[in-house]
Amino acid sequence: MLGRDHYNLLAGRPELTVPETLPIVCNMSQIPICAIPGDRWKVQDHPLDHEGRTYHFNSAIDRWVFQQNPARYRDHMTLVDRFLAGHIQPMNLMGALQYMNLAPGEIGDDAHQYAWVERYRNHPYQRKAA
Amino acid sequence: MALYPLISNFQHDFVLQLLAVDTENTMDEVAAAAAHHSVGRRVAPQPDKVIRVRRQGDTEFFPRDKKLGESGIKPMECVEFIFADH
Repeated sequence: MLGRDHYNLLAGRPELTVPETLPIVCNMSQIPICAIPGDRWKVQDHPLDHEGRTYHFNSAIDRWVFQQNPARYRDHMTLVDRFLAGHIQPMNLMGALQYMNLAPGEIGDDAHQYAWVERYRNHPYQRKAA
Repeated sequence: MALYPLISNFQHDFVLQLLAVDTENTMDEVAAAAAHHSVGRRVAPQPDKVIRVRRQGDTEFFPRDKKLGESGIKPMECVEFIFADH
C-alpha cells in the first residue's frame, strides 16, 4: 500500500508526493510518530496525561523515559506544540517550513528531477525467477 | 463552530498527521478531511469502501452522522480512520 509515490509521479501528479499538513512529533524523540504501513499497518500513539497536558510518544519506551523525570521534559514544546500555540506564523505548512529555515525548493524535490521515473516507466521492476 | 485539531491515524498510512477540523463536522466529514492527507498520496483508494472513524484502540465506530463536538473526542486525541463496507 505504501510507496504510491511512483504511481503519482508516473501519472504526473508530483504534488501528491508531498504533505499538506504536519506530522505529529514525539514529545521525547522529536521525530514523527510512525511505524509499519500497508497491510501490516501498526501505527499507534502512546499518549500520556501529565499535569493537565497531553503528551504524545512514538513508543511505550519513549513514554517511559519521560515518566522517569517529567520535570526535565515537561516544558519542552515540539514543533507541533509550537504550531498549535500560535508561535509559528503564518499558521500553515509553509509557515512551519520557514520556521525551520526550509525554503521552497530545498525540500520535496528529487535531486535528479525525477529522472528515474522515466527509466521506471520504460523498464518497470520485474521480479527475477528464483 | 470552532476549529478543532485532531491526530489522524489513517489505516495503511505510516505516520500520524495533524488534522484541522471543526466541531460542527460530522464523522463522514472528518473522515474526508483525513483522507485528503492520506488517500491517493500513500494509501491506495478503495472506492467501494467508506471510511469510518473510531477512537484509538476501539472496535466500535462513531455513527457517520455524529458531530465531532458531540462525540467526546478531545482536542489532539488520536483518531483512527478505517476502510469499512458501510
